Amino acid sequence: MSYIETFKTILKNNLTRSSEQAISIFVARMDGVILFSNEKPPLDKNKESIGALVAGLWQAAELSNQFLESAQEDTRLSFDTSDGGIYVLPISISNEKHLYGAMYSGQINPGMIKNLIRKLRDKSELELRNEVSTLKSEYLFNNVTDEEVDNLFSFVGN
Amino acid sequence: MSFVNYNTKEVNCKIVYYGPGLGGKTTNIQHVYKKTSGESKSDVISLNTENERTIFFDFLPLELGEIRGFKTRFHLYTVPGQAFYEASRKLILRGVDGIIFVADSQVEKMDANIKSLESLETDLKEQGYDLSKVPMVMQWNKRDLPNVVAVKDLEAQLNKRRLPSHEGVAMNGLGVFETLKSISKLVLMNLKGGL
Repeated sequence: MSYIETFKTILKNNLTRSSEQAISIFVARMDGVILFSNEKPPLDKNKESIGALVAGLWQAAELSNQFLESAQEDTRLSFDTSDGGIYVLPISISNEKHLYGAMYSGQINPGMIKNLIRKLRDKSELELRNEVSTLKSEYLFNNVTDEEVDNLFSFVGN
Repeated sequence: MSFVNYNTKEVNCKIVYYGPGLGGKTTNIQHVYKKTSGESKSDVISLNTENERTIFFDFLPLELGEIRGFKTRFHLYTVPGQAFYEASRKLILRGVDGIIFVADSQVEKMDANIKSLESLETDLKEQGYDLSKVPMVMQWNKRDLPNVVAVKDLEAQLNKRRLPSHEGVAMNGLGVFETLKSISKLVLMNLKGGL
C-alpha cells in the first residue's frame, strides 16, 4: 500500500465523521512539500503555503530549541487558542523525519484533539515502518529545450 | 530536494532567490506573482517587518505547465538579505534545487554582493552540497540606476564560475522571467526521479 493510501485508511478507520469534517490533517516533508492532506479547509486551497510555513516554523523552533541543554527529541509544536489552532508532530517515513500536522477550530476539548492526532501519527508511523524509499538515480528529463521551458511559462500575462 | 510523484505525475522543485539585503529578491518574486494568471494563482507569503524587510522568507508556489507528461510546480523562496539573519538563510537553503543570486549592480553594493556570495557558498558547503553541481544563475539587478558597475566587472568579480547571467531591472520586470526560465531549465535537467 502506498503511504498515501496508508494515511487515508488510518484516518477513515480512526476518525468519526464529525472529527473528519472538523480537523484538517496533512503530512509534509521537512522542506514543506505536502505529501498528503485530507483536503479539508484551509488545506483544500492553501496547501503549498501551509506546508512552507509549517516547515519553516518547525525548523526555526527546532534550531532555537537546540540552545536548551536538555532539548528533547520527541518535540511537538502547537500554536493555538482555547478552541483552535495548529498542532505539528514529527513522523518518521522511510527513516526520514517528516511532519504530521493538524489544523482545527471550534473545538471544546483541544487536548482531546491533540491526543487524537498523536494516536493517528503513531498508527501511521507503525504502518509505514517497513516502507522503503526508492530514490531513483537517473535523470528524469534529458535535453530540455528552450521551447519546452517557454511552454511552461505560457501562463505569464502581459 | 525535488519531489517527483509518479502516481499523480507531478514534479515539485525548490528555487531560492539569494543575495544581499535590498538587492531585489522580493521584488523579483512579487513581479512573478503579478504576472501569473488563472484561477489557481496563489498568494505570495511574506514574513517581513513593518517596513517590508524580509525577516524569514517570502514564498510563492508557482504552478507551471506540463513537461513530458509531468505537471510542474516550482516553490520560490527568498531569503532575508541582512547579515543578521544568517541562521534563517541556512534553514531556507535546505533542500534547494536551484539558486538565483540577485546582485545589486550599484558600485557601493559590491562589498555586500561579495559577502553575500561567500555566505551562500559557506552555507551550501555546510549542508553538504557540491557547489559545482547546484544549478545556479546570476541576475545583475538595478541596471537602470546611474551608478552601476559594468557588467563585465560584475562577471569578473562575482561570476568566476561563468554561470548563466542576466541583466535585470526587477522593479519593472525586466529580466525577471528570463532569469527564472534560465534556472528552471537547469533545475529540470538536473532533476533525478525521487520518491
